[in-house]
Amino acid sequence: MKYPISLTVNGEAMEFSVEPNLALLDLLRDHVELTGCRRGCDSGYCGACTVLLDGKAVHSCSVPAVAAHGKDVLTVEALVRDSRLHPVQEAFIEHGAIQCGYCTPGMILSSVALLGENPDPSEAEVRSYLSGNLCRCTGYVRIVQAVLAAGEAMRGKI
Amino acid sequence: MDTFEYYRPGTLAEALRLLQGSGGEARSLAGGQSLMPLLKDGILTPQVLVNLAGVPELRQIHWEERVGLSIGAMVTQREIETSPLVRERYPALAEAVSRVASVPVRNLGTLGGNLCHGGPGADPPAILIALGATVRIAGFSGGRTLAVEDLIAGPYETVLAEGEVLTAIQVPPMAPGARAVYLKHSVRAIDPAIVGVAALVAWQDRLVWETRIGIVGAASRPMRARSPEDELRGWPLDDAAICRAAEAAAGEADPLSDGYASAGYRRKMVAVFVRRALEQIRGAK
Repeated sequence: MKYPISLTVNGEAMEFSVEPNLALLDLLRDHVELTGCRRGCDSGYCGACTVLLDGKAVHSCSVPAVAAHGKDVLTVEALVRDSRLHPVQEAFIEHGAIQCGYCTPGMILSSVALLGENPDPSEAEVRSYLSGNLCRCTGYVRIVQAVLAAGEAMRGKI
Repeated sequence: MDTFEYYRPGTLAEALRLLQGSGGEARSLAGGQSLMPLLKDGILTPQVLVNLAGVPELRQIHWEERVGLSIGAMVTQREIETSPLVRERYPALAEAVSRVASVPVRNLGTLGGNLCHGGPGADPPAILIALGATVRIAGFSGGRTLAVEDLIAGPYETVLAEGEVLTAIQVPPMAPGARAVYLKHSVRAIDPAIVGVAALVAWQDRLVWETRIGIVGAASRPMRARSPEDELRGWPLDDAAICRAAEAAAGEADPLSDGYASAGYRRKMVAVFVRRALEQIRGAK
């Protein structure tokens, strides 16, 4: 049986009719074609599928789409404004915080959520906050540097 | 994953009616962080899913001087760890809850869901046992209250009967001067605890008066370790007492082996982390 839901996806109001076993990840990838959210472990560990749900980082593989009814979803595709990258995206490029790129959208969205909650995090706070986003390439050093630098940029210090 | 019927009731009474009326084929949905993977893997195949997110009374957290803290089952773990009230009154509870998995999981995952999942190595049961917490359970034909240590029956198993819902977690006020800590031993931050030890100590003059020790990873279910408590009660919290308590805890432990650690290693870590927890409490006094 299908259930009607409405979502705001990247600022746009959308209506869907979904089976209750459909994950938000699959809705976004297969029905909205937002493939920035990636399927990694598909079980809530790796964070490749991270999106912001009402502003909070969540693993979209572990959210039934039907339970997201009425909520606001933001994916990495929406961070670009007027062809300009978000400061966190800029910092990831500048610091070489990307290798294969698979974890990057999730990493960036978690970092955006972190800097929204805590504009001036310590390195330990960055590491702790990003523990739900696994990167198998970089060893995290440059990612952490990028997030700290993005924080500085967003506080207007650069 | 097979499909199922989905409901989002607006009251607890309606939720209980839906859960009761589906002949054992219904599951309640809290934050979904444990349930979704189990549904996807076909480990659980409910016919009916009842989302408790629309029941306002399950989402409340409040403090009363004489009664203590009441946390609705649907309060998220992130809300608990960032709550100024919890951080001030029960810092060890905020710390333990902040060690569950990762921020995205805690943003949706609820305390009630964590307890009802009964996952081995989940952090909250240990600290809730040490704090003397109870859970309030509602059923179609009435309610009951259980100590947290009596809720979880084994790995992924609770004593909840068909149709029952855990509605709230009640944490009594801490005795004046009491200290509590939670220490987690895991390889990666997002893993369940290999061993997680919580301890609470309150003193009368210089002697341990009240103490509770809650351990996860020491048995097939979260354990209230009574033998180390007996070693401590009435004694000063000195090296000898701490050493006796740590050995007693390891003796009482009956751990499981799994992909994270062997039973033998867990037993040794029980002693190490009980000792460290008590030393930390002594240091903080």
